[in-house]
Amino acid sequence: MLTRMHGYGKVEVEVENIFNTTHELLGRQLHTNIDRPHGYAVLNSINTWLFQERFLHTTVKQNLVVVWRTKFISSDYPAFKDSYDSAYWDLIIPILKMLGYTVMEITHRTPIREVFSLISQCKFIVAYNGMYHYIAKNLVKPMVVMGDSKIIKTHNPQAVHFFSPKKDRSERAVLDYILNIKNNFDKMNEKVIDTKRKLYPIVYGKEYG
Amino acid sequence: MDKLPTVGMIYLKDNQTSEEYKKIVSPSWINAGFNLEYQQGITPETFHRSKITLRFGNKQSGRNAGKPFTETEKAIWYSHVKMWEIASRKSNPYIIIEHDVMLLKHIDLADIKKYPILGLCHNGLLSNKPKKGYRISAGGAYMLSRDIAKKMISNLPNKITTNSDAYIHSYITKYGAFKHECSTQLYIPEIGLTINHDA
Repeated sequence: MLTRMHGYGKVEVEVENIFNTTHELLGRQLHTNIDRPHGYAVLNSINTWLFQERFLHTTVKQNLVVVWRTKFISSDYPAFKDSYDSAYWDLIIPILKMLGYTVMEITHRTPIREVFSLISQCKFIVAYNGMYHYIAKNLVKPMVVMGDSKIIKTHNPQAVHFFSPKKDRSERAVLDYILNIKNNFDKMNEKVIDTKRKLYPIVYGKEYG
Repeated sequence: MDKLPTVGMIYLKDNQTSEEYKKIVSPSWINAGFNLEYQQGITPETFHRSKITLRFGNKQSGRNAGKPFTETEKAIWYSHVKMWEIASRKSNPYIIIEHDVMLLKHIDLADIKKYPILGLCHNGLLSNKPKKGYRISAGGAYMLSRDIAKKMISNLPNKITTNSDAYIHSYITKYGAFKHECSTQLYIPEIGLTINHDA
């Protein structure tokens, strides 16, 4: 039973570590076979744990955008994750809808199958640094990620990063970026391609593309 | 009245700035189920076509107190008066919006039934002065009934000394309510503004 997680408040769930699971989530074929027996490690500044390559080839729904924010978190969490507060999110979601996207907001209560399916299929993600950011990274999805810590670059090397209204180009820089997301998408995707070019040889043993 | 009110957008045909904002923000209203109609705004070149002649004194307050109204400030006055004339002929409440206002939130039909005038807009992070913080934009978007529209026309001052925002704000304060979180004015630096407050 975990009573505290990362020192940030109580969690109300039981966590059971299962090894050699017989659970049928995605046919037990979710991950690559990179094992790190001595714990977490970063290779070439990139955390290289990716999902199996076939999950990176899921057909993309061009209008689907996945969003997650801190609003529905009931426990405490580090302040850096909220550097862009609800005033921004209350604009980001309507802007995306106004631009014609179908916005699917996921939370900690969203079933994990649905989370995986939505992230796999979405055109891009707009999110704070947290929750499902490793699923986004492991699928190497185009992403706008927000959080006032350099760690966000390690967590999501494939993403476009915004740190805080004071540190970024202007206090509305992230909003301007999203307002212009259709023009910005190619550059977002360039980061994805660059990341894949770095990772493919390491993870899959072949060149990307 | 259980259906959504019609939305009338003031815009300037063939004005690139106005047309671009119109194109960007219109889906926010249409996708929410509103019937959106476009109404040509009055420009300094078309004052003379207005049915009502407005008389302007010098501005009473603000950073340009004591100075005359700019031509674009007068045009905004004329445009809103034109919209009140349209609203006064409607049997149902009418929502008036400027060309750069995007809908953010659901507008509660109960509020529309309850109040004869509702302020629906604010300026904030997406404005041209985000550092000024969240503030009401009375003229950006508001819903009004036919009766209030008639009253606003018949009570127009003999000499106008405040901007149209202040006049609309006074009616919302006196007769209605603010639900200004529902929409916001959008400024995009590359597109610019159509109004000039400095002569």
